[in-house]
Amino acid sequence: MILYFISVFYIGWLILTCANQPVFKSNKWISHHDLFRLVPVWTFFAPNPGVSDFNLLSRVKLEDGTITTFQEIPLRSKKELSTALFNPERRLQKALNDHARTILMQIDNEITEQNKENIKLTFSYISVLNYCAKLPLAPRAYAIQFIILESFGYQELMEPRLILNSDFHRL
Amino acid sequence: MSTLLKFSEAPFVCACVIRLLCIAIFLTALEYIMIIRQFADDGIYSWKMIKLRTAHSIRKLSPEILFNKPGVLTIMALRIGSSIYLLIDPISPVTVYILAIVVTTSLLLAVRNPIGGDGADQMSAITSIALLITFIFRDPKITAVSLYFIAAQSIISYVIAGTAKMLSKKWRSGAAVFQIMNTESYGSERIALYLHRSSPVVSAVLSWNVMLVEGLFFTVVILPYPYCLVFLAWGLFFHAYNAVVMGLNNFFWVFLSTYPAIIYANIALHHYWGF
Repeated sequence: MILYFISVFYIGWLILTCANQPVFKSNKWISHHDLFRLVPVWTFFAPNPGVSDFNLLSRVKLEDGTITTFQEIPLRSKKELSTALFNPERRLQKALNDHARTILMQIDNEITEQNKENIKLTFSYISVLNYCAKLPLAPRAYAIQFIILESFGYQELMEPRLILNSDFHRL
Repeated sequence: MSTLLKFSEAPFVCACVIRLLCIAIFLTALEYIMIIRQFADDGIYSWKMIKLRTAHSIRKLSPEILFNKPGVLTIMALRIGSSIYLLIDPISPVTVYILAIVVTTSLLLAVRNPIGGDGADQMSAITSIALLITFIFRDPKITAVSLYFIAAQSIISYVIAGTAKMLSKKWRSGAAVFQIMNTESYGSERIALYLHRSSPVVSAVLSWNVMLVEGLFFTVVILPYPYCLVFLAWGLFFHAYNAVVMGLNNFFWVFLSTYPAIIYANIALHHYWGF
C-alpha cells in the first residue's frame, strides 16, 4: 500500500514538472504556488536564450552638490578552472542579475509612461538600491543613483541600451 | 562488466548518488558562507528586503531568527556537516536523520531565497527528498521506485531542454549557440570570436548536437550497455564544459549524482522487465 502511494506521489510530481514548463498555461499557477521550488522549469536557455548582459553602475551626489562619475559594480566574475569548482561570487552576481532581469521584464511588460513611478516600489528596484547604497561610498556622499544597462556581448551585436536610470535617492 | 553489475545493487547506487550529491551540497553551502555578509540587512540577500516581496504567508510568518544572517550561517553549517558525514559514511543507521537535515535545510533555503537560485538547487532538493523517502522506509521496492524517480526527473530535464530548443528558430539555425557564447555572463570571448569568424554551419552543428542528444536522452534507459554510456559520457562532458566555460559549476555535481540512478534504471529495464 505504501509502495502504491509513493509511486503515485512520484508520478504526480513528474506530471507536475511537465505541466510547469512555459509552453503550458499551468506554468504560472504552479510556479506561484510552489513555495519550496520543488517543481522545476527545465527549459534551460530555451526557447529564447538570454543573449545580453546586464551592467550595473552607480554614482553619488556629495553634500556640496558635486556628482561623481559612474562606478561599475561587477556582475560577472572571471572564469578560471578554479571557478569551475568553487565560485562564491556567482551567488551574489546571480542575485543581482536576477533583479536586473526582473526590472527589465517589469519595464517591458508592466510599466507605462503613466505608472513609471511604480518601478521604484518594486522589490527588485528597492533591493538593488539597498545594495548599492551599502557599498563603500565617497566621503560626504549625500544621495545615490544607479543605472542598469543591457549590453550585447563580446562581439557587440547592438549598441548597449539603458534599461533604468534611477533618481538620486538620499542616503 | 563487474562494475556494471554493482550498479544493479540499490545500496551501491544510493551510496554513489548520496556521495556525488553531497559534493554539490558541500560546495554550494561553502559558497554561501563565503558571501555570508550578503545575508545581513545591507546585503543583496537581506531577509528584511526579501520578506517584503512575497505573497506567501509562510514567508511572512517565518521567524526572523531562522532567516537572519546567523540563522543562514547555522543552516549552511548544518549542510556542510551533513554533507561531510554522508561523504564519509553514506549508508548507516543515521543516514535517514542526516538526510532529514539536508531536506529540511533545502526547503528552508528555498523559502529564504526566492532569488539567486537555479535548476541545480532544485534538482538537489528533489534528489534529497527521494533519498530521504528511501531511507525512511528502507524497503527494496521503495528504494527502486525512488531511484527510478531520480532517473526519470533527470531524463525529463534533458528531454524538455532539448524539445524547448527544437521549438526555437534561434536554436535550429545555430544562432543561439553563438549568441550565448557571446555573452560575458555565460560565454567566452575566444569561443565567441571563433564562432563569429567561422561558417554558420559550425554553430548549427553544435546547436543540433545539443538539441538531438538532449531530446533523445530518454533512450539512455532503453539502449543496452555499453551504448547507453555514450549519453552519460556526453552529459559528463556537457556539464564539465558548462562549469568551465559558462560558470555553471554546481550543475556538474548535481546532475552527475543522478547518473548512477539512470544506470540502475537501465539495468532494471533490461534484466527484470526483459526489455
